[in-house]
Amino acid sequence: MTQESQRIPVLIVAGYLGAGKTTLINQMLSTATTRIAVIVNDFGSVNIDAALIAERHEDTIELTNGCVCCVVGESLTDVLFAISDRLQQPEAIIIEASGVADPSVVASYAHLSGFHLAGVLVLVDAVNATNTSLDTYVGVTFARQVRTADLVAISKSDVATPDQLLSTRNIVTDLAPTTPVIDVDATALATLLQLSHFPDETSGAPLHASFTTELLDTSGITTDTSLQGFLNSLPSQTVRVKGIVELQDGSRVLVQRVGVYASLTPTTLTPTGLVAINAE
Amino acid sequence: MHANAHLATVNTVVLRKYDIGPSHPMPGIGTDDNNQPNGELREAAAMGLAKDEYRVLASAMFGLKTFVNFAATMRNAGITTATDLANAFATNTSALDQSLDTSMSDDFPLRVVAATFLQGGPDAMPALVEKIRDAQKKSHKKLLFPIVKLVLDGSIQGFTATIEWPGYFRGENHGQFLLPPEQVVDVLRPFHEAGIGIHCHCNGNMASEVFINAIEQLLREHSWLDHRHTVTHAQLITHAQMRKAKSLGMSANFFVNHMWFWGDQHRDITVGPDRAAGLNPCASADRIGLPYSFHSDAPVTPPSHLHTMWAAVNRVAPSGRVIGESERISIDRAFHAATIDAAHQLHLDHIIGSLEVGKFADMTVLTEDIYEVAPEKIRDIKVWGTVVGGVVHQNPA
Repeated sequence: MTQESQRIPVLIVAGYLGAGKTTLINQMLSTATTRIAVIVNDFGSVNIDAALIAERHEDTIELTNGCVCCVVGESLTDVLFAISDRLQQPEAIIIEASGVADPSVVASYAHLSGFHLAGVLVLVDAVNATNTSLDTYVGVTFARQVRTADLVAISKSDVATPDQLLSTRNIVTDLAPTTPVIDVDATALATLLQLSHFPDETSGAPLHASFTTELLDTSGITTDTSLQGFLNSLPSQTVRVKGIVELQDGSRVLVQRVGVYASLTPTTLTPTGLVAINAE
Repeated sequence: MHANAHLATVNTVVLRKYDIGPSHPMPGIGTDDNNQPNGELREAAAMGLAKDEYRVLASAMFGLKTFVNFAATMRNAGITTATDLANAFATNTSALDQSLDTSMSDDFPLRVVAATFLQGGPDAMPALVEKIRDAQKKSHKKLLFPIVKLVLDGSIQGFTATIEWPGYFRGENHGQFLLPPEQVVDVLRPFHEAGIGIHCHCNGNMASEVFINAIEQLLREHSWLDHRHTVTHAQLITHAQMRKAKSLGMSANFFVNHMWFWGDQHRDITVGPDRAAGLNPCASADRIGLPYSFHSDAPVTPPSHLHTMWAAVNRVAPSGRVIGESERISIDRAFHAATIDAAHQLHLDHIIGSLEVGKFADMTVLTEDIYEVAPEKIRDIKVWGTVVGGVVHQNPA
């Protein structure tokens, strides 16, 4: 059996056509500090910097920084298995859902053996969200995507009018009243979503101008239940939590929380405490 | 694996092997009254839990042996040409060469039309056009590549077909486009311009609308009078859509077997009595002048044109009710839909679909005459075998 600690976290990046999924994924690939594997619908839109490309095959692109980009093809299951069969397993996997995908269906694949779900990010385009939400053909799809999100990120807010931005925020709040919403650029978002280890943040150094980080007081956490309760009680501006805590019985838990989704996996790694990343 | 690969059933050994227990986070694990897994795994993600078994099945599905068995299954059902509307031979050189080699043999009792399945966005399509052109160059008359296939929405019985107002009769609307509607023209353009026929899965009338409008746009951009682009399933296609499709030179491929297999459910649950009566509207299509064929969507329903013709002629559901009497057609009309009209839709009516000097001697040998038996007995006729390109293939007794 696969060791729990070796399960690869899988983050789902969803959102309607044009919401900025590819921009975010390109940013994540080019700034990756650890090996990540990205699964995309097709290479056409992924515009990876030529200098980063080590090897290009029909359905995979190997990058010089150890990352890999794979096309989903006929079966997401097959691609995930192929990634887990690689000699050098990635430390995290990002799945780009198609523009019309139901993110919860895509997320179910993260429960395959060898993986665990790290959460569902849904991007919402501030310029077009109002029209998309009212569209006869895809309004239902858009609503389903937002409702499924663990974290909503509003994109294109720099080019949206104030009215568009306000309307977008209202639509998202109506559809998903308890889901945290952030409004940052792709660079900040890529930094926020890094699923790897995090020595820098625990040192208290600022992560990015869009966020503040804090080392949480975890002294009250003694059991799985109290850890879960602690995470549930965090304020809504805490959009990300990560770290390793030791429980009373000596067991250690790796915490990865994206938006409202917390994945807790047993680990043997050294405890780091919990870092919260708060949006402004 | 069953239900068109939506469901798989595994035994206790497999459940134990992969620790598939009641607390597993995967959605789609069927449970019994005591909340224990009962072996049912719903949808692809859950099936992947049984990793080794899933891989064996998944690779067997695309193996050469399966291709040979498929041909034998079609022969048993009396089918001389089968269209695989989700094919990938053109995308894989070794699969293409092997399947061309295998199907060329006189022992291979089937003509196969491979409709290359479109996956990905607009940027992925030009390369696919080149692959299909290569396959067309290599192809022979028993494995042909005249068309491609796009899937736009889900199924009516799954409540995932995209349906216009007032939507589903009972049950929640899970209508789902599988490609953003604004990308449909861009995805299809390279095929239309290359002279490759387009078949598009549209169960719901919203999907039909998007597809028909896309073809209208492509014809404005690039003239092709004889394109024969086809609305596949077209179950809920409206009369207005049929008139427009007719004007554009399109055709429909109706899923008439639904009238039997889901007729009662469609009437009582999914779309209600009014829309159920107008599902797969063959007689209306005739009045409007829209050409059409039939399909079985095997393995969704059994591959038999005796059954599709029977369903189109009778439109009877298991309850005994006739669902949409005014959409019934004659056996002669159904026979044409299953033969020459299907061949025309595939751009193959010059070589198959009717018996004429110069065309292939493709025939189905039946034990009774479809024109002589009572209409309700058509599906009970036995198939003796087939003749494909003059080669006789008798079914095992």
